[in-house]
Amino acid sequence: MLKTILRFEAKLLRADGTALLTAGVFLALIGYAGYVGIQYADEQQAVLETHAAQYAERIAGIRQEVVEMEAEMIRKGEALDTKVELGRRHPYMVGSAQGRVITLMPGPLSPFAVGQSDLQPNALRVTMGGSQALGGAASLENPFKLLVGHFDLAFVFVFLFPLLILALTFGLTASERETGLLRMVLAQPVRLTTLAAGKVMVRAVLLFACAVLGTGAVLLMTGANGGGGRWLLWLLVVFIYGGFWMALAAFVDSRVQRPVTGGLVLAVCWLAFVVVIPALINVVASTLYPVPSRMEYVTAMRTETSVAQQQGAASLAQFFDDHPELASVEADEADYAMLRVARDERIAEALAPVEARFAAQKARQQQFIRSLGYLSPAVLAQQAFLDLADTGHARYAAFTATVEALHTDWKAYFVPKYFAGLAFRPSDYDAVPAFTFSDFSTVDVLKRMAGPLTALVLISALLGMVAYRRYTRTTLIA
Amino acid sequence: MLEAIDLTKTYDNTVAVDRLNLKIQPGEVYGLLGPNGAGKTTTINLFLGFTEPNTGTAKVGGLDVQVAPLETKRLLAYIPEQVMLYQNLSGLENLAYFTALAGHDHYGDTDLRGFLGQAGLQAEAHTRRVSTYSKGMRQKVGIALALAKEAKALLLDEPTSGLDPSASFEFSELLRGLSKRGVAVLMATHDLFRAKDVATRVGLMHSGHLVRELSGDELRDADLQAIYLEHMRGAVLA
Repeated sequence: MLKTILRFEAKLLRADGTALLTAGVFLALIGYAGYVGIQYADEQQAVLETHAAQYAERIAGIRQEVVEMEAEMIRKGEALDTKVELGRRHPYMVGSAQGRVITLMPGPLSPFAVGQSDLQPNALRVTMGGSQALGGAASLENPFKLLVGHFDLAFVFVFLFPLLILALTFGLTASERETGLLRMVLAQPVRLTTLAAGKVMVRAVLLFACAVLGTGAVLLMTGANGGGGRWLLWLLVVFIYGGFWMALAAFVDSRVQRPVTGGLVLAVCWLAFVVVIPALINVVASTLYPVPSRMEYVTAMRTETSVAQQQGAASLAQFFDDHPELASVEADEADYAMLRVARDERIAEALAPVEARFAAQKARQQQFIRSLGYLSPAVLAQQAFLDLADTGHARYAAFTATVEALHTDWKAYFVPKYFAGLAFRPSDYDAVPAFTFSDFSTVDVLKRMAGPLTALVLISALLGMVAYRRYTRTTLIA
Repeated sequence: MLEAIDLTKTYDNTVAVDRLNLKIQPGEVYGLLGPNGAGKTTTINLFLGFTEPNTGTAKVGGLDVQVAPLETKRLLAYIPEQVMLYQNLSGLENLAYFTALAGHDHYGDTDLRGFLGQAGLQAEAHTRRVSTYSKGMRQKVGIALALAKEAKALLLDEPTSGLDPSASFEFSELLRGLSKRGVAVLMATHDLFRAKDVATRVGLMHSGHLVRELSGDELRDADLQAIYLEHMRGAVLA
């Protein structure tokens, strides 16, 4: 029976052009979003590769210069392990002037979702003073685009995919009920539940096939880059998220008499789940856990920088109080590098409370959003899509934490060298702290997604069950 | 084949059908007459299982409609006042779907065209979209469905309303043909002329009650209109 309904529904969708139109629109949206995503990811990749290459070239160049300088010194019979002034051979050259440039390369599915990659730094220079974001063509983003987001695949699937589902399913059985066709159909030995299930399944197969074909083509155009597993998980999220909207459409259809009523209710649901609730969650999160204003932070930084510069000697004295193991240097022997270290530490200490408050409030906001995200399937799907594309909050948080750890190691390595003032030898280049970021594996992402996706499956199952019971108990005439 | 036993249905304290007892044998054409709101359509809805009776039983082929809804629908064909079909499909495609739903998915195009032909639908219309069909043509698809389903009982709800005299006559001929095949027909109608012409028995219904039945010679010799008006006026005065 179900097979008959499936076959016929497919024929019916073909006959009235709905299937062709919906599939065409869906594939066009996927195609355009894929093109936008690939363009963006390619551009970003190129910028990051340029940063990495320029840094490697610069460091290699300086190292070569040092090698040549030492060769000359050896030729002149000069000692190499001596105190040095600021210059090519001073540790300041690597520790502060060049630092280490680190890049967060895009994941294999990054063309699918721009996510936070246009807001968070993907290339940083870590120096003694901290880490600074490196700009590039990709970072000069149109503010309007930053505000509304990119037209990428995540946008298509989170925002537009539900609309296509609702356009296809809003009058599932209600339109036949309204025209009287349902009386003809149910005068045959068929249950309303079987009929509704068949209608949902045909529509689900049509849209899912488009999602598989469309995103598969985009993946192939990116060269796949080992993103097959991520892509399958992406499709799983599409299936589960789409399942929710299908179940909701069936739930509403089972409770209304007229398709226009169902359409209206579903439109309100879309607005609530996709637009209003996510916005409300953000507003409530910012209200409950306000972060210190950026102005406050910038003002504090300027003030502290100015004070530290004016009180260079006092800063250094304070520094030696905090680091007695380095106090072998007399204040009047302190060079620029030492003063800079002392100044940076003083600024960092002064700003630490503001930064800590900022970080803590941000963390609370994120936790709050994670918890309340369960109120909106769109938020859950969005988080899952960004995680899969390696452009979500979790990856950037992990990256930032690793950068901070490197900064600590960097200081621990270079501060004694600054104060010893000994030459930075070519062999020292190999001993500087390395940056190792253990990126999330597909399994890590899956583990993080498991809770939200399970919740979504349970909500959909509940809606489906209620719809099933309603269809079972529905009599055509009350 | 069709049997109502003390069948009662009320809507919000309004009695639509009140302890209806009715038995229609195979080959009988039963004309159920009565004004609007008499309970004719509700009776048909009860046989189709579209609504639940408050008390009593509706049986098709000896099976309780509420207990075995799918089995009883296999035995039934239904033609409402407006036979609604899928507008974007042809009569042939509609018939293929409805017969498949009824469990007869073994029919080929030739078989289905044969049923449409028997129902009187011109061959050129078989593959035309139903949106271009007249009401009479859609009724013929309904009849073809009854033939294809090999229905044992036919439920008709105002089937000739709005049909021109020629189409109405054609419809009566088709009913007679089905009756000869042993199909039990229950036809709810306002059309006294058509009822007298085709029915083997008629029942007059008012306010959910079956107030009078006529059959055989009684029906042939009766002035059905006079009897109808007498009962309806009497019921109103009462």
